[in-house]
Amino acid sequence: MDSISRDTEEKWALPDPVLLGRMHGVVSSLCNSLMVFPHRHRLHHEGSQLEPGKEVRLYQVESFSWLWGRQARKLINESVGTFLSLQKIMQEGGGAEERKPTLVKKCREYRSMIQASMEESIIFEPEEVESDLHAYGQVLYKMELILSLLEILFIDTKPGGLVLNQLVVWVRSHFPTNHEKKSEALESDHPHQHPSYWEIIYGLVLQGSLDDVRQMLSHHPRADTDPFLSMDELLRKMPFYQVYGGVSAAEFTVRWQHWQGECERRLEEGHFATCPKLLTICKILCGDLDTIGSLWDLTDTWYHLMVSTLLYTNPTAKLFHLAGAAQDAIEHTRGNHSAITPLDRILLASMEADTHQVIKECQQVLDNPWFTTHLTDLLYHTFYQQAEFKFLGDLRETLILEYSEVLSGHGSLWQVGVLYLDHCGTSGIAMAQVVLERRPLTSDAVAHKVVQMARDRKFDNVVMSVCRVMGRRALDLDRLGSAIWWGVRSRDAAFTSHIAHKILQRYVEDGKFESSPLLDQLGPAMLLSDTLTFLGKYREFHMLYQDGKYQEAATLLVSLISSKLAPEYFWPVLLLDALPLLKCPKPVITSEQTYELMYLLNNLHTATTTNTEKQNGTATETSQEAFLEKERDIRLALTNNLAKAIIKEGTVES
Amino acid sequence: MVSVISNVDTGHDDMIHDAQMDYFGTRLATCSSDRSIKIFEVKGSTQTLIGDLREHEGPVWQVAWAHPMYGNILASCSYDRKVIIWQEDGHKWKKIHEYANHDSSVNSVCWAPHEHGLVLACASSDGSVSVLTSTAQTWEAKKITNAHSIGCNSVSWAPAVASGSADGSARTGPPPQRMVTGGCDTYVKIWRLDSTTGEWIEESKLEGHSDWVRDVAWAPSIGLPRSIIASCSQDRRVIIWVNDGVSGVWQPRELNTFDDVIWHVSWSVTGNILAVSGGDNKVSLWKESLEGQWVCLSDSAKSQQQPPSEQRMF
Repeated sequence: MDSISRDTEEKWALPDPVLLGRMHGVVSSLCNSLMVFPHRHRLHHEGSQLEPGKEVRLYQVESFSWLWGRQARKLINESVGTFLSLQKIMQEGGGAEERKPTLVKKCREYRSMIQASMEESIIFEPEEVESDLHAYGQVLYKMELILSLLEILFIDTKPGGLVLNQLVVWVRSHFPTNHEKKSEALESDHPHQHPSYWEIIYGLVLQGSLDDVRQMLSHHPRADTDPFLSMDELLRKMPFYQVYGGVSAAEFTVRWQHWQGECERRLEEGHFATCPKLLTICKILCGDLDTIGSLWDLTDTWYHLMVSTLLYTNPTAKLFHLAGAAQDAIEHTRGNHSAITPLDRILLASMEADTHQVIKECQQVLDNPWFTTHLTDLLYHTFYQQAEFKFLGDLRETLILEYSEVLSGHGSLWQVGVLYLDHCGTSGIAMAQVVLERRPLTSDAVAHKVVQMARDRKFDNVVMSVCRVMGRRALDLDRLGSAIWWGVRSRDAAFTSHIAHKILQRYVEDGKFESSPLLDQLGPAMLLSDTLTFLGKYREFHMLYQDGKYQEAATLLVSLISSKLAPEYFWPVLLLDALPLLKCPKPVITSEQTYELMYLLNNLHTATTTNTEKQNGTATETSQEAFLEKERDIRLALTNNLAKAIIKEGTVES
Repeated sequence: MVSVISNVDTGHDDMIHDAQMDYFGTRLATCSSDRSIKIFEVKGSTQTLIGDLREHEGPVWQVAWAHPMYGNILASCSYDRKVIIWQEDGHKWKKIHEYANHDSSVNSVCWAPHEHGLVLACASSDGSVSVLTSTAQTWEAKKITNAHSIGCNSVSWAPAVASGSADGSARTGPPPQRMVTGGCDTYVKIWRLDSTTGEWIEESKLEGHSDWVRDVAWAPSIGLPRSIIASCSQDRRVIIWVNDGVSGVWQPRELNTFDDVIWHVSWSVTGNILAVSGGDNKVSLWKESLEGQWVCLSDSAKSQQQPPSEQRMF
């Protein structure tokens, strides 16, 4: 197996006056873009290398494809739905026979999407982009042509492997001119005077539309004559193989041979000697290669010619007959000097049943992987678990990665890209993480979206990273409430502690809490770090106090003090908070708790007096001053409370 | 089809040596022989100058963006032997640290994956590599002296992927810290931080180039246990080193021999595409095919006109 990747080397020029194209490039963002700038290496001892008046320019180079056109948006959004539902059904399992109807259905969904997009591109667009749009329409037409052929050959296969009936329909639907002209002719007063009357008839014969041929012939003035009646009978009697028609292939062959024998007999007996046009038709029916070949320009393409030829020479053709028939048809049309196009190569490879080659050719010729990705996925599921098609698995993953990467650089389609990556093995998971992590967090809404998508996929590291980034940004903007909210979600203990400290320090400074509702709803999340736990509990204390639940408030405050959760700079605040509680007429702080507070006060006293010389921040300094002023007051309150508490406790016990 | 979607006058008075997009691809930093660093806001195809950083006293060789979870932080290195770390504060860029402990030009700077903390590696012409680690308020420096004799040209960190977890989601213990350096001694060296001693150990010395190694780039992890490094050299070759993660052996594979010295290799963020540029006026993009072959995707800045798109003929 040779290389799959697009190995046609393509080159582009970037004329820049500074160094005549000496360029240096850096790829770094997700959006398939490349930064290019003129460069000469490190000649630091020289003066400026720039001639005066010249600018150092930077070029952003990006690959461009029809996928970014406005018309393709619908195609992208619809195809992801089909892709996902296909994956879901395939995951549910089931045998080949159960899978097949789904695959056929999904294949047709893709085809109808392409057709719809094609029709829109024809109808709606203004002229300015006509040529682009025309090219786009052409690409769509060809994709649909390929997909419908592959559907016939590999996906919607019939019992016995007979393919011709479907191929005839394929040719009719992609070459509708004969039918259109037929209607046009029949609408006129004298159909047989239509300039292309006989060409239309030959064309219809070559597409096996024999009823239409009979209709056309019936409008001929000589329709009642013997040759026409004889021909009408032949056309009417031509047998068509019906898969579920109750006739075996062998039996059909016998009937068909009998019919063709009859055609040959009438030809020899000179039924059509008086009418050369009918003679030609009869020769076609007899499968006369020279006659069919001479009419090949009515078939436009080699693949139409191939189908027409098979129709009258080998009506029970199977897939393995096609390779030879295709070669013959190409050989025949080659005389016309028409070069083999990439499309020809893809169709030929399909008929040769070389799916690998089909995908490779598609990949080389299309400027984005939309089609190849969906096609390969369909084929992968079609040939699921067949050893010879094992390569499809790897190929499918590579293509999905490539397609998602294209989408992930897009401002609004990146989410679609992630949906594909969910079905792409470990590489898909790794890539989805990169896509989510690198999504520019332009707003809170985007951040929430990314976090949600990461959480659904259990990408803990992505959730953590995004929340950390958002937390850091909020912190830089001094929005502490928002910072702690994101910090908690990032589950980063050190970072959250850092923000919690900031909030506490600010409280020490101005006695206010930033975004207190956020802090009050922390719940179990407050256990993330000690400082955060303290912050949360301290808020709880405030609430209890505000609600007048002094007893509970006091217990909580003392436990906060004794648990040593509080950072040292916050001790004075806690003691000052205790002051009104100590002064309650009925003691709410027990003697035991009072001792705790006294112990803390003593520690603090020593710390403060030794620290006063050391300048450690204005915030703590002012709070210490405030504290020293109140120290006497606190000592007094403690003593009073202790006395009251002891009396009260003693009274209760006795 | 490729098209130039924007074309901006950088305002630099001399050659640009490096241009780096930040983590999200929304900001671009450039540095130049004119001793300045410029920062642009990138929106679609428009770039707006939002910063002009001037502290260096020589040509600035390289810039590197830290992970945004640490804030908007940029590191730069220069011929003036200094490494400067900058931080955006409000709308102003400030120097937050200057490291001047190299004896010669500092050629390359690279931030470690965020999992390791805020850690910067710097490679210098004095042959040593410094690793600066941000602690609460200061930066601690650790130096690998004589990492490459004659000089060290480039340094690049390994992605933080714990061994045994392909997608990096279910980690057990901190991922090992590794980096790769390339130097004038023609070697590419892999360094690993010994978590018990805290020292950097030379883990592998890769011999393959025959002249100065100009640049090295460790590929981002794409969900596989294997590691990939690209190196380029004065010898006009680019070598892809692959370690399957099982045998521990680095297998070299020559990407290509070019017409001229190759100065620079860089990976796309998904690790799928390698951009190569050098003295032959070309920037080429390479991708590994399913069969493990490296194929050239496209090649800019060479021929005069692009051929008509083949798609039209299809």
